[in-house]
Amino acid sequence: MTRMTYGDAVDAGLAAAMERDERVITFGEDVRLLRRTTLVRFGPNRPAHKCWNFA
Amino acid sequence: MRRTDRPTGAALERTYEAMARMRAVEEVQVRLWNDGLVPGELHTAIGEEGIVAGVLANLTPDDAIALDHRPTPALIGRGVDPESLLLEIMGDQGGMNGGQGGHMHLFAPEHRASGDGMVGSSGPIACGLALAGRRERPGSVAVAFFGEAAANEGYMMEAFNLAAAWRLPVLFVCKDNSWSITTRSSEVTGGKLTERARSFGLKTAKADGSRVDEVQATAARLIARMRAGKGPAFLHASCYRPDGHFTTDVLVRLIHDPRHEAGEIAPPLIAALRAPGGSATDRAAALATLTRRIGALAVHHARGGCDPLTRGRRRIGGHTAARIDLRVESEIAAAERTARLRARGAKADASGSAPPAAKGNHVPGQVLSDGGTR
Repeated sequence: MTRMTYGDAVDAGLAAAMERDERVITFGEDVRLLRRTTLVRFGPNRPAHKCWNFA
Repeated sequence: MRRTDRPTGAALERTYEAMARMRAVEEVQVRLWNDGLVPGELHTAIGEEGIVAGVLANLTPDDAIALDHRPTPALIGRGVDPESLLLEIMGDQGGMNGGQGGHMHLFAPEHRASGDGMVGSSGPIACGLALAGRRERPGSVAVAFFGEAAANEGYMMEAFNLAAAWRLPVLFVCKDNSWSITTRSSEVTGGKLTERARSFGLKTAKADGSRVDEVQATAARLIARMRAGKGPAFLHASCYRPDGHFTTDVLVRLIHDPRHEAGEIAPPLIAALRAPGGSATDRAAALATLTRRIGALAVHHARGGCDPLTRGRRRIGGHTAARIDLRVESEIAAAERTARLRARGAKADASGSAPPAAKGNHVPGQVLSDGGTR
């Protein structure tokens, strides 16, 4: 079994979902810094809802 | 406000002593956390003492307070024993809540004070406390302490409404450090908070939270009005918290010691850049976004803010302040020594017999709600 921190598990879950379906976005308070690995991997402008991603 | 309204002499010395005691206990908490003796995150209120002490100076034992996830200063200011508080945050059965509360959920019914980690919950809780106080202790008031981000929670606005509709004697104290963790509060807040409170019918006032005498005098006016049955009030007080959102906040560490902390932050970012995902343009835009945000935080911390204790020392005089500091430090150091000894004893007991859970103790370092790798 893979061992990881809660934070890494959240990032891994988000990345798996965003990689599978480009309509999946991440938005919310603080995601810009707290989910920074997801941000640099997928960019701040996912096409479906550009204005909401990494608000 | 006229300067003559502000407390001076012995009254100001008492408030300064309260601030010094609050700060000393918080510093002990940080040391214990750094030593791995406090489980989970630790949210200190270092920098908020001027607001907390200034308001508490106007309360009586009949009044009640509802606190947020930074409850330590207010509890110490109300008279909670520092040793029982320190034992509590370490998960010791001898703590003020039997080791079950953790640092965010401290409850001191004998001091009519409670903390709650749910952001914004102090508003509705204070309404309940005020309602009970009006029935059981006429003339008493309740105070809700919260941050400016909590003012955007729905139930905080329900609390404004209920307090105004029922003319409850609640003082809503907004401690505004202008950042909601790593988001600028101005980016997620519509309008001005004082105007919002006024629109519900609350009497409003502003104060510089680093000037305890100003906070004390402003709160005195609002609380006197509330005791006279004129309804709730809202105090908006600015402050600067040098430690960021929680102790050893990685972003604050990055700003203070970029060379060292970059070693922790950079590898996962490099791995993410190499993984499949967005286009090169998207990734470049992401790095620019990240850099701008860290830069904004760096500017915020580089500018810093006025320490309420430093300002308090200036107001009461260096010699008097030094005498008070010495007394407080000695008292709190004794509480720290005893709490550490007891924690070591509890740890030895736990490792020798029953599992920690059966003893009511948490195991420091096992569960990190922030996903950290302390």
